[in-house]
Amino acid sequence: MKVAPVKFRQQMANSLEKFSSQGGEKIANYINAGGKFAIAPLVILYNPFSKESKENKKWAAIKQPVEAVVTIAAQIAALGLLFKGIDKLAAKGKINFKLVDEIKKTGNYPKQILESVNNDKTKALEEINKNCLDIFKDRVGTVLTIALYVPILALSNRIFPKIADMLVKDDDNG
Amino acid sequence: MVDLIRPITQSKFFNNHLKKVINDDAFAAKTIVVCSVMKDVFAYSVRYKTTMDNDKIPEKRKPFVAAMDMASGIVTSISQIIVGFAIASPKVQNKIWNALFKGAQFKNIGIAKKSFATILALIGSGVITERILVPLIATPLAEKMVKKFFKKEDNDQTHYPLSNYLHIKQRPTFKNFLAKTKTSKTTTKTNKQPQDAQTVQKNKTNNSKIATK
Repeated sequence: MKVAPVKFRQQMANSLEKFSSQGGEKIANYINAGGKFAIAPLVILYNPFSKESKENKKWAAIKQPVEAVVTIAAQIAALGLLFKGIDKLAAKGKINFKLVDEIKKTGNYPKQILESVNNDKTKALEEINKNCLDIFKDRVGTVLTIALYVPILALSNRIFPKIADMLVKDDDNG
Repeated sequence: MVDLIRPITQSKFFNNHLKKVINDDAFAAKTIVVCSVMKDVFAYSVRYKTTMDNDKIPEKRKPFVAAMDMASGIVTSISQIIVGFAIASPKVQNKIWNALFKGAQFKNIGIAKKSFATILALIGSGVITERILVPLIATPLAEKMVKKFFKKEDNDQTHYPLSNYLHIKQRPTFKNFLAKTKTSKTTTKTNKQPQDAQTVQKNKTNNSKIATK
């Protein structure tokens, strides 16, 4: 496999670290919305294997970016509020993980984390607690994202026919 | 809120899940892919139903738009798991990591590697598969589904055979939800009334029997 130049590699590394601080669920939502907004409509419109009418394809294609915008706006707002609430509770010490208690008792630290903080056990414990909190937020975030789909899709279903109707010039849309 | 969270954070199941995610980057990436597929399966099912119930979509466009939703849902779930899991494998991850980041400086290489595995699996499953491969396969599949299951012309009339099973009769709005709960409450009340009347009648006959004795 071809290796990227040094400067480019460092830039990529920096953006990866910035991006990873967002948390898995948010990253998943960004990637999903980005793909839906930019790539999906093009693939639907210019699919060489499809014989469907151009108007029908346009209708299906317009649905994608509209849904992407509504979805990501609602997800950012809702997940932002949820994660803020969880972080507040964690800062007050109201969220305790069984795994952290177990590690405190047994001293059985995950190797990867201990190495990443130069075997400093206090820092390792902080890192494990942060990891647990991030994973917890991701899973709760997934549940919230699923729950949000019903109102999000209802809203985008109201908006997209209006936009499609404006953009698709067709004499008998009915 | 804390009372809701504690049973999860202290449970054995979540504890084991945390251990696996922290120690195994491939498992962490696979979990994100599975979560993404779960969301898609749910979203496409809701999308199909809302499309079929949407009066604002012209009737002649509806079958294809709905069939596209259903076909995309089916193809997405299968292909995302295959591609996402393949990319999440440590062998593939190491090859791409070395090609992109060999010699680069990281504040915390452990976290960066974990995020990289997740992002790569998501790009593979969520962008390349879901947005490029799926529409390519789903569009012709939707055309076939429209002809076979969604739209049938009988005596100049259009029928939607699948919609009998998957059609929502009422839109899922808060008003409808409230109306449903009200009607279910009143039906339970009205169901109770005849029972009460029956027992009253039984008690009356029993009492009269006792009186005649």
